[in-house]
Amino acid sequence: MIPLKYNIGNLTARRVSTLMTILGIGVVIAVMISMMALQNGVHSAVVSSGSKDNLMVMREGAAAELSSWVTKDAFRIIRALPGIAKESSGAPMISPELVIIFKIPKRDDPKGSNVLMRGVTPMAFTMRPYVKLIEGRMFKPGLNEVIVARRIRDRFVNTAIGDSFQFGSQKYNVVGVFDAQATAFDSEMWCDSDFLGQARKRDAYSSLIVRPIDRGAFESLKAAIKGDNRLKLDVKSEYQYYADQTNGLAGIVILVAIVTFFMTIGAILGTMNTMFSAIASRGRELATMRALGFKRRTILLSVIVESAFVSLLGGLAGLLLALPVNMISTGTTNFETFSEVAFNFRVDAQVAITGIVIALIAGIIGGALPAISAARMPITKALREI
Amino acid sequence: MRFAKLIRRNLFRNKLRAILTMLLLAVIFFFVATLLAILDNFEEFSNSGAGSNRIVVQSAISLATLLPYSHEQKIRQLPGVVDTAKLQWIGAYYKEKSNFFANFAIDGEKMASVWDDYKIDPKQRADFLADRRGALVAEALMKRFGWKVGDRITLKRQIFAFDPELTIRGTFVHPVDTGSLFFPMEYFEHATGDRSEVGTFWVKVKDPKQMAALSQQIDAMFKNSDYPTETFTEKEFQQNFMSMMGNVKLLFTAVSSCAIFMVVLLAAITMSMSARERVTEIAVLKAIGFEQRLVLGLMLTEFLLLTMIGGALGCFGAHYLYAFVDMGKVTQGFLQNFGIHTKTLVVCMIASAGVGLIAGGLPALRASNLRVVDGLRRVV
Repeated sequence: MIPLKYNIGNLTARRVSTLMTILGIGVVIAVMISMMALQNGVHSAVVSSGSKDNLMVMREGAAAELSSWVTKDAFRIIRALPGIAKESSGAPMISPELVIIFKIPKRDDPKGSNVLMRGVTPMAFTMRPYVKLIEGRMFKPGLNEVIVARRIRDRFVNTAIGDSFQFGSQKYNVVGVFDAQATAFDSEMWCDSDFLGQARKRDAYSSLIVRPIDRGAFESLKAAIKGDNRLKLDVKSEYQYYADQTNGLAGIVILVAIVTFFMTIGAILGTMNTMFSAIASRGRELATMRALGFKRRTILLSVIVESAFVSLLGGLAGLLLALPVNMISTGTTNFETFSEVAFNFRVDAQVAITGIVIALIAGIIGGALPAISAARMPITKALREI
Repeated sequence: MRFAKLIRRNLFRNKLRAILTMLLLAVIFFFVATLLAILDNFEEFSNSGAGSNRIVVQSAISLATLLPYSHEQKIRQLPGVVDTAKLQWIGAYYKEKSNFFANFAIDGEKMASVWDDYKIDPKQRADFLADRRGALVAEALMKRFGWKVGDRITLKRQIFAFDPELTIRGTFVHPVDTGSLFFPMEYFEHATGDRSEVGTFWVKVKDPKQMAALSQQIDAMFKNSDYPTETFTEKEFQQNFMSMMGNVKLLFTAVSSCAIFMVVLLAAITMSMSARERVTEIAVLKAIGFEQRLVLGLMLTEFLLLTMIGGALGCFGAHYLYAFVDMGKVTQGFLQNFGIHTKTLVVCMIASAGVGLIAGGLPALRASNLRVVDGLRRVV
């Protein structure tokens, strides 16, 4: 085994080109990590919202809450079913919700985007304890007051406390700002469900969120609701509902796959190229080592280690370059719900490790060919070279 | 041209290195060309409504809010309006959820007047109008799903509570719309039991200059009703749809620039390597009377050739690949009419030349500036 010190010595001897290689691979890995961070951010903004403990009741065949319709009669029937957990006050844990989207101008785009308005009862807050008011106050039942997610307030016009906006003949006053810990609700506005129903003339809910007592009740409630022919309703776990919503974001997944694919090939070809240059300039040195008795295998390994080391440094540089994207907060439209998904780029441990591992693999693959050619170099010929 | 052979020999003096560098450029420019083509594709979609003399009336509240039929009568009476029609987005899919495509309920008999740019065989048009459950399908979409005229198909519901069961009665050809299916409004009304509300009204306008004024007039008319409207030209309507995705342009441009930056760095390493190897040779050339400018020119030409051949392989490769492979099928309808335009090819070639100049400039300058004695003395 040739000591690592030899490789490090080599790299420092060719300082400029080593630094350029590290930077080159760094840029590649930074782009890759940023794209994965984007996907990660959008994905977690959508998926993390649903709880596996809750059931979500919607109209049969409705892909999203927006196109679902649950009558108030159905709500009363379901609320009386056995197996629903009770709050400390004794009220059944079932949250009727009405969802409507409003087009609101963005700060950077006056044409605006569709933002989801969720009409709720106090039970919605009990069932989703992570939705917390952080500024202002709660809306009052029956009044035209709304609270908005912080991410919406930061990116849309007229959504700060004290502002108001108008749709049709109805005015909506913003009284509070909430935070929902980066779930889908962070892209929403909430208000009283009875008020929203009256304002938009809808005498029905969009969905019901139900908390069963236990696993057994989960299944029996599901069967009871699905089996009731009067209702014509569909039931799935809340988690599943939000997981299905990611279908509307397929474009991002395709894009990330394309970028990762090309960037990996780029990194492999890049390291291969520089490693070939690196060994070309020290053919004689390697031949001397062979003559001294180092085995072909040892030379092979040494070159691969050197290549892997450079790309590892490149990967780390890439991670450093990509970290600032964590601060980017932006939005896209989920075409499954036709409404805004506000999200942050998210470089988490998994993304970071994936990026560095890809860099390492690219370094090993890219180093393999030069290593083989270095190991197979005929000693006499290489020694004779000037 | 006298030096063509010298340049060629130098270019491939280290075959492996030249090929690897070209390959790297090819891969990156294939990628950049693809990203730019996707942007072009979106842009085309955004501009697809231009020149159609149509304006679209939708609810100002959101895309998902419907408008009452009574609005249509009022719009039709405005001066300058040729005809109006109702159009409803259905959002159903065929068999699998991934088989997503655009499908609409439409006022069939209005297609001739409002959507006069859709080419439809007169007999098929008559068949379509005669069948309440008929469907009119874009030819490219027929190919995508392997449908034939006369086929019976069932679409799966997503938004409205019915699964459209249709018989394909005809096909249409349109320069931009290559992925839509239309079925009669009557079927939609019957299936949903709702004969009072619809998503959009499409208004054919006599004079394109009137479109802006007419849009404002329509919005003003309904401003204080319970169903305020927002009226766009067809072009703006498509653009809105695109802008919903977020800032795709910025993202793609940033990714492309990073990729090119990386190529500059890695190409610079190769080129400085190749220049360094040749120091003695260059000194000899200069000693026998080659001017410094000529030496510099020869080296830069070589580096430019290197990157431009690589760039050309990448972007023309992409061009021909997308010409032969139906990307509409591969991406499940996401990219229709996908291809690399001449404009993109030119941009890529200029960028690859830029890579050659930036990456090779310094090594070439340094090598050609070297004093003859130093060059001859140096052992490489």
